[in-house]
Amino acid sequence: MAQDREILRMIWEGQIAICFQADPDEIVGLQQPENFHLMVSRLSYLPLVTDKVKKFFSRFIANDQSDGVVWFDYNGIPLKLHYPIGVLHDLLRAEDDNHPWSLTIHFSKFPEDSLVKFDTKDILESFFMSCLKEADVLKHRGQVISAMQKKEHNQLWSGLINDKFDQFWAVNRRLMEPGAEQDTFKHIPIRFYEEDSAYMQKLISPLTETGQKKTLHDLLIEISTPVRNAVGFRTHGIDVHCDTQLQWMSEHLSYPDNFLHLLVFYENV
Amino acid sequence: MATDDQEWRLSLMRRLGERDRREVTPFKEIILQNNRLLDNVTQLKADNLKISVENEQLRAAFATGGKGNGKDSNAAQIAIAAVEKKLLAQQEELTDLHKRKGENSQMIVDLNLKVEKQQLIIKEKESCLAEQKTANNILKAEVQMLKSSLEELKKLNNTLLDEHTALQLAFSALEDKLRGVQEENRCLLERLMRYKSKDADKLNEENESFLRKRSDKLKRDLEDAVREPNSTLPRLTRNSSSHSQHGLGDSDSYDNDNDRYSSDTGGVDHCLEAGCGTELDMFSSPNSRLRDVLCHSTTTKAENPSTIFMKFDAHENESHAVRWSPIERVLATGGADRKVKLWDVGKASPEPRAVLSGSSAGINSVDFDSTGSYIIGTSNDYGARVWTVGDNRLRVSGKSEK
Repeated sequence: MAQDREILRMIWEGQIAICFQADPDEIVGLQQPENFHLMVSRLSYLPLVTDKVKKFFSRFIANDQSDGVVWFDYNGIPLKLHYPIGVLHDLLRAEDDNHPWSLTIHFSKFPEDSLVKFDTKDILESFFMSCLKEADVLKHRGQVISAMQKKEHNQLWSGLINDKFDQFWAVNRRLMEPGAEQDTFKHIPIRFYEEDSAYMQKLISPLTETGQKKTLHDLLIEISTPVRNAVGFRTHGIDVHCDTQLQWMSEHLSYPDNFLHLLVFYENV
Repeated sequence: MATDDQEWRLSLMRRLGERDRREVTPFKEIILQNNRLLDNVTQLKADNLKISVENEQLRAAFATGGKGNGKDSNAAQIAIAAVEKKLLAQQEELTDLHKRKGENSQMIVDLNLKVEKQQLIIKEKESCLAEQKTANNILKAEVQMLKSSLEELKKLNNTLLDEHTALQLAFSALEDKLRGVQEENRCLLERLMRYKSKDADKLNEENESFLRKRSDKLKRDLEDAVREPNSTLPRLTRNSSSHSQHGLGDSDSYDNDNDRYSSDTGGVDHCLEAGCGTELDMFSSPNSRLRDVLCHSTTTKAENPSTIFMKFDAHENESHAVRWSPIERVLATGGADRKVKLWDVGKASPEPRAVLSGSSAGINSVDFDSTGSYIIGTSNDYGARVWTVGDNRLRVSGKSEK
């Protein structure tokens, strides 16, 4: 049961400063566009927040290209549009200074082979809902989410895109409740990320073999391989304390799609 | 589940706070402002664009207005003509204004020149003024000094006035004293004169009494002589000569009475040569003596000479002898300075006529001869000398052996 409202609030209000730059190849005309700065929510997705950016930069590019799908890259790496921004940031941003995260916006030459085109909101919404369902299946075998009505699903989505904490959590609370017969989820919906941005998803149980609540410590051991050891997790831009309970983490530190996205630090053995 | 194990929760919260501080707070406000400004800028640019487009449209419309169709070309042409007229008028005004501007700038240049000249004049005046002020200051200082010196002088003056008044007072006091003293003096003189006159009266009385006695005696003698005509009076001679010597030695003084006597009785000069006029010269013969006595007795109205007619110093030291010349108004005096001097007394003051020298000691007696041409003088050197009166030459000089 996600009761720690303060932490939930802090998680919800996390933001990242992004500096959008135009692709120099795409600029037509003599005017050089200024960099566009924006504070975006960590929990949101890039296509949802970049409408203004698109409008701002579309003035400077050729008319025929302004209808294409917009994509972003950081230091040459194209950004996956269906990852939450916080995940992208923690994953890709080099540990450095206090500048805003500079991304380059592109209007053309969509890299078909590395990205999936999420150009409209509807596509993203359906992806979001499928993540939710997946998470709920892992947690409650899908019972809670299927018991919800369509309007509650819409409430979740609109709460996310409109940045309405109460609206979202009114429904999400139900998804964060433990199962009927036990006080934990069945499994923890969790995705592990390393530096190359493909994630790993494993079946993780919130309890140890002995029946105790698992901590991150146990999780570290669990995902360590003989070749390398996991030594730390990072999510939401912070290194998490290793004594943190997994169940609690799943309830409070999940992203809106109800998954825990953890960046794992490995050490070679 | 959230309530146990607060430690990791706290650390979690702390880390979230740090993350926010690092990632959110520096940028939030600024990015917000920036975006607002960007919006403004784009809005303004759009407006600008719109306006310029409108402008272009208007211009295009204006430019192509004359090429419109015939219906409104006339109106347009009339409008154009009016506009051209206005344009001409405007151009004329413009040229006028340019001209005026030129004139004004010329005026400005002139005025600037004048202003500069005035400023120069002002500077000169200011320098003059400064000089005057310094001169004024100097004069004031002088005035100050003069005033102070004036004060001092006034003080001095006051002190002098005071001294003067004091001196005047003293002077008046002294004058009074002087007057008093003079008064006293006068009184004393008066007294003295009175006493002297008393003395003189007394003497006169004595003389008169003496004379009376002598005259009585003479009368008796005469009577005796009439009775006995051979008696002589040697002793009277001695007395009279000594008296005459004495009288002459005192002062060479003559009185009015002597002259009067001589004028009254011209031939009796000899008997009047004695000083006070009361002695008789008894060197003459008995006949003359008688005559003399008779003269004396007949002239009893004679008075004692009281006033001095003439007084002069005849010799440097004592005068011992004096004698009138028998023929002229010449006086011979002899004194201790060994000289015999001749004085002409015809006028008011005696004129020295001659100095007869040759004696080696004081002269004690002189005499003329009866003709007045010779003068004899006797001196203390036991000798007697005779000079001629006319040429003042020594004729005879005789000395006794002793």
